[in-house]
Amino acid sequence: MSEPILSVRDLSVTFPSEYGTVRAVQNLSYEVYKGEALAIVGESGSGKSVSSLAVMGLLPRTATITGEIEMLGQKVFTLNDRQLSALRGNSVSMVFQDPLSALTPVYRVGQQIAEVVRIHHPEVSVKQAEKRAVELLDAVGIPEPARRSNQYPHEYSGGMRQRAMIAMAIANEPELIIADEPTTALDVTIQAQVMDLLKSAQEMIGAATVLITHDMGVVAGFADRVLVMKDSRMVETGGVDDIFYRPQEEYTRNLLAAVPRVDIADAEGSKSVAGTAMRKIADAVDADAPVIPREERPAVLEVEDLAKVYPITKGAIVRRKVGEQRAVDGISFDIREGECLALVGESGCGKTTTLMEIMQLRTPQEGVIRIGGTETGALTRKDRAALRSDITMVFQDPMASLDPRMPIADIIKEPMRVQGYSKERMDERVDWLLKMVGLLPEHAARFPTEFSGGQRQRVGVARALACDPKLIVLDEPTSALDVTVQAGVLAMLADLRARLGVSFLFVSHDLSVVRHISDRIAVMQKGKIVELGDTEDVFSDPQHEYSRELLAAVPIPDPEIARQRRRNIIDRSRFERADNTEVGQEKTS
Amino acid sequence: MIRFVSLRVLTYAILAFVATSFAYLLAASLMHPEEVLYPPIATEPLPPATAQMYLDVRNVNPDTPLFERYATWLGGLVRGDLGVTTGTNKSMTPVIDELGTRIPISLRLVVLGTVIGTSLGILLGMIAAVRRDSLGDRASTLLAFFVLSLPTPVIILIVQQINQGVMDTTGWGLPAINPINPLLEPGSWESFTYQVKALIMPTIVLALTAAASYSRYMKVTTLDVLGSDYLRTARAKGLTRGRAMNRHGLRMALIPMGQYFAFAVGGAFSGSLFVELMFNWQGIGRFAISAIQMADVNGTAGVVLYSAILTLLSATFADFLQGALDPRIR
Repeated sequence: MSEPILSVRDLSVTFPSEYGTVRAVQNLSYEVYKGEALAIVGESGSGKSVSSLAVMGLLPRTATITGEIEMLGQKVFTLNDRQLSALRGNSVSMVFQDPLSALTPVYRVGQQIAEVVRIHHPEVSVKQAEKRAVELLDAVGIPEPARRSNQYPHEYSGGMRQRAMIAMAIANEPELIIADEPTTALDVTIQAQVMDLLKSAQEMIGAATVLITHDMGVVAGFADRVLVMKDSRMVETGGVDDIFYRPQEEYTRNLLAAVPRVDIADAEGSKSVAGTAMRKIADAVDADAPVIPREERPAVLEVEDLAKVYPITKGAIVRRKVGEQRAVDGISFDIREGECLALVGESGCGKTTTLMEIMQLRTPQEGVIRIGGTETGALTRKDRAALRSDITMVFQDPMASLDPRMPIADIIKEPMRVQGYSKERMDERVDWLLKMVGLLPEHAARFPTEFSGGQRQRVGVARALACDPKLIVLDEPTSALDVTVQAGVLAMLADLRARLGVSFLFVSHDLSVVRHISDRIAVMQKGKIVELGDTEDVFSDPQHEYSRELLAAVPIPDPEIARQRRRNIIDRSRFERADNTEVGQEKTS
Repeated sequence: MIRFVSLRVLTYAILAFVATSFAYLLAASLMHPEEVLYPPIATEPLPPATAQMYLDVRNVNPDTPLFERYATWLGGLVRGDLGVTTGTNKSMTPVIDELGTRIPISLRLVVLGTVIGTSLGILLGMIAAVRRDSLGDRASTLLAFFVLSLPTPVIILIVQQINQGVMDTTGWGLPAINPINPLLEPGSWESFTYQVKALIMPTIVLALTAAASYSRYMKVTTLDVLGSDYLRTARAKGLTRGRAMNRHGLRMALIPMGQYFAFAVGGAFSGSLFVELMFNWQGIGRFAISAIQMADVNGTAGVVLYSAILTLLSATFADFLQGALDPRIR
């Protein structure tokens, strides 16, 4: 076997903190060979990012590092900042998680790409470097690269920024590319494009890649080898097929089982925790009561031709309308008792605007909203306040949506207090609610910071359940959670629906999440519902082109299938032409 | 862009007008120059007609309604005439001339003090943030709080005493007071070097106070930048720590500092009040204090107009600076 490009031996990283020493990475060893793609998988806090920053020599000074990292035959810890800088961006480059904050906002994108060329090749003139930047942007599929290279990062969309980051990473044809959660901040269709681009870019320049991610689905289509990390230690490592089809460790199996699958139809075939949990509960309910056909159940929420239009204005003193943004453009749907409707679409498609229009319980700009048969426009102040207990909400970010200075008992009591519940009844209900969402009644006196992300989201659900609502609106309730935690929360939600008969309006950008929990799916694009139907129908036979696109973009945690789906996306000829022009100009100069 | 700038200038002109009008109305209704009209040693009362004429010509006659006096003053303002000095200052010098001779003296102090102070503050703050918890950081933090906790006159006394000490031991020192030596021929080389030397101590005082507060702000914004993702990207591209900070970090850290600049000029103006008094400079600061003491209505309004224009100019400059640094708000 050839010499490894990167070998990490017995790496340990510790940070001092207020609560004693934090061991971020312990005794980690791995090797990366030329042209190989290694994926490091783990949940948040497992030390995967810290280990890669250690490779780059970019850890904060407070970190204590032991062990050895050898890159291209050089021992990283013996190099000083200047010697390391010569490697960074030239022999080893990095793509970061959040492309918005990873680009300096005050420089043009073209300048920033040209900079990485000029740092390592000072003989290239500014003009040539900028020309090369345009060519690189062209190669990674940015439309109108010449114009776009003169724009600032805030004028780019998230996917385009990540493409620019990749252009920057491949500019000097490095031996090793480290990608730290490169698609976590992106929509699912963009994620697929960016991963394909990264893969083809890697193959084209023959670089080795370290992909750091929490998403097994992304790994399947990308990596040759996988390293699983948990609690700062390596759990297991092996070829991608071995890890996916023959996992040795319990934790790896759990991690794989927690990933929701879009490609497996019935719950039997799905190893998903959520799927299993749902099946169990569904059986119990089926045995108890005969299923009432959907049409005969009363509607909890009806939305007809709802529209919300934002005017685009110009001018500081005299405002004039120059256009309009149809955030929600005439959508209609209804939710029956005990039903779960999933509203799926990418960011900016109008999901949240729809929710806000429903939750404000007022006359919408256009259209009609009826809750339990009553039109929201006809409500008095008092009615509206009373109705707040019937329709409640669970928010996306469990950290931000709970008051950090209130014990969770008070957080859960708050909606009940507004509705005028007696003290005894509230105490009773808090105990019951906590049990309902899988927490202990003893937890009532604790503060939100004492809970993990998943537990906090459970508190959020308990608060939403406080006043026996008819409908709970869930705004991306699991997108801020790790996969294994997400599976637990989804199972709990499915359980609650079966036991309490409450209806859900489940908003998500991720189709794989809603497959096992929803009865019906509404696919939203550009403010319109393009497809509305039963979950199974949408998954097995999507009618609209956009639904098909969304489904195809969801990463499937199965290496066989993922390999078949890959498409070549980087424009090799453009990249090479860029190379030739540069070489040619070097010769002439 | 032209539209944006002209709109800004218009709003600022309105702001300056409102501030000055308010100052005039306040001064005219609260100050009573007619009461200091007769010095106590006067033996004979003035004839009423003379007294009336005396007050009318200065536009401070209490028998004229306030708003009529204001209208007269406004008419003068439009023509660029700020009235004449009143109160116990009986020389009837046009306020505009008084300002004209004093502004060059004061302005060099304020501008130099602000520019040196802010640059020094930015440098110190950045070093303190980059070398956090080092000896330099702790020393500059201690020094900054020491300067901030002292009233300006105490700082002036310390600086003057140090100069005196040096002069006593070496026989060479900076001129203690006065911006200009009237004994030297105006325009000559000696006169010029004297003016420069005289400028040093007051500038040190103003720059110290500005640098102390500015370094604190700068340290906070730099610490924000140091933890940012784009600085990590810059390092990942192959820039060394120092070059990444200079190319990417410094500009980002300076963006929020732009707005503080406007305040720094205002701070330097009020700092110059003490400086001019204690170094015996015949500048605007000294004029402002004496105008209020002497019940000089027109003089007070004139000083307020000057400080309003100064503040608004520096605010414009701050906006311009911010626009140049940050393409997102352009």
